[in-house]
Amino acid sequence: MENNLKRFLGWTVLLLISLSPVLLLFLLGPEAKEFNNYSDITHSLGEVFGLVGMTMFALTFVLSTRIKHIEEIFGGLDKVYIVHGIFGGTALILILFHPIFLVLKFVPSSIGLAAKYLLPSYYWSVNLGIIALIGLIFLISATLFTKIKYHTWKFSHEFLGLVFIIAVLHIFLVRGVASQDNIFYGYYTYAAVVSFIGLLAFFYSLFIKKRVLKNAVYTISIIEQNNDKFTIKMTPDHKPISYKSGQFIFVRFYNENLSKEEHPFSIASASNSNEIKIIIKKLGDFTNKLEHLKVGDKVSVEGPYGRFNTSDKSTNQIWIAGGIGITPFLGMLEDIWNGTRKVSVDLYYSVRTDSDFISHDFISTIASKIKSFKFIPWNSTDKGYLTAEKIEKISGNLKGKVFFICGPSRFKESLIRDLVKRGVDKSSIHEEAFDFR
Amino acid sequence: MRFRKLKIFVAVFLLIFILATANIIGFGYLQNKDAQSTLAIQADIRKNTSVIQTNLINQASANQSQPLPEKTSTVIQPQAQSNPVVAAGNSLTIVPHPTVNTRAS
Repeated sequence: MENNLKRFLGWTVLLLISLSPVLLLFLLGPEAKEFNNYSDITHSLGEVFGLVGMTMFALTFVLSTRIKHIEEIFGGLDKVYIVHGIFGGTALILILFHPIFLVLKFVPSSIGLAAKYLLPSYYWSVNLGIIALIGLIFLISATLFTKIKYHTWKFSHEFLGLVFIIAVLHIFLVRGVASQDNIFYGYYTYAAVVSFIGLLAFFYSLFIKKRVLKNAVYTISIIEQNNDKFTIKMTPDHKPISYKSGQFIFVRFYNENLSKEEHPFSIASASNSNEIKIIIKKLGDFTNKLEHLKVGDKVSVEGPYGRFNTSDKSTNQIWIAGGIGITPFLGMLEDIWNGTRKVSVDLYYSVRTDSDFISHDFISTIASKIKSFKFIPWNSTDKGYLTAEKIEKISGNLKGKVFFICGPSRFKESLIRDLVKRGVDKSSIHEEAFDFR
Repeated sequence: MRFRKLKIFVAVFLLIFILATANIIGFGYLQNKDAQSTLAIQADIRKNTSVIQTNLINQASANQSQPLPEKTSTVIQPQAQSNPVVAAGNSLTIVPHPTVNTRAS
């Protein structure tokens, strides 16, 4: 409940900040000249849409700074990135309304004039707005609607910072009749603060974050390949990072055959182990080149992040893993094995075929030795999809139990829907989002 | 699918934006093109009127014994246009970019 309250407060604060231009608009009162006629109303709405959109745009940079306090509020970095995505998409929608509403006032009398407004002219203050809008549409569409390679997408996504800078220039160079326009004049300071926050967050992420976060350096000690899966163990060169099982880290491999961009991977070893274990499945452009990794390669580790393990302290838990989603549970299992975690757990591990199981023997061994731990391997080709009904038949009444789910998005979403339909409280279901896009 | 609802919303609003912008620019371009054509016709008329007047005067002065005809000017009426910008006083008003002085004080 406490985590849900924090998340609720986090959302409330973000929305209040974003909607403050609207609140200030209402404070002007119905007699304000901003609501005089059709032309003034559409113009005012156009300005407000632009300001609210810019505020949300600025907040996306704040959310991407990976600051621990923000992660704490939203219950994990994966959740923060969900908020980041929602705010980014919503900012785009609102900013699209900005030129349309500004133009609407001309449409009844002269559509030719409206057209001139939307096209580049020799007023560079407006041209900058057009450039920023096109950049925003292009880059957010690339994120939401395309499946370009991860490193290409990540590189292109950084350009949103440049788009933001151009949008800020547009705001401050566009000169309405400031002394006669309460909205624009009144919000000039507000726009300055919002722009400053967004720019600060962007430059922090670009230049300062790497120094502040002080990535730990590890060396690969073991690499095991099993079909399309790599188990990589790393030992620290200096001080190891402090982490809890179930968390994830951003990893950057230093190997001439691999690109240097960082990727998030769940930690599959027990809490605070000196040696960190990660398990990676070949899924795309980057992971397909992991065969080039060798023992002795250096690794940069940033983190840990995520609140998957610490989301709920209840002792009666059901863990549900889909495919590679078993990895955070492996570390949590080692904690049970070591006696540092005392919970009663039923682990459902769903895969398409038996060859997809990871660490099956290890999990079975723990199940045979620890009475409070039950292992239910689930081959979905033989037994059909795992559903809440089937879980209830094996584990008994679902109400009162706490669920931890990790795996592909569709797998998680359908199970969560199913569990909720069966009367499980949504606050009792904790999930780890694997894909940030 | 991650962000499914968000993707749908963004796609719908993008489509609305593209359609609205395309319509405004398209119809605006046609309107402005009409306005420019009318301007060109008017400029032509003024030029031709001036040429005709000059020719008449020259002709009259060549026939000095004859009384000069009354000065006439031939005006060719353009075809009726339903262009609100041009129709107002039969002249095109130049309007500054809408970001400047867009509010009445």
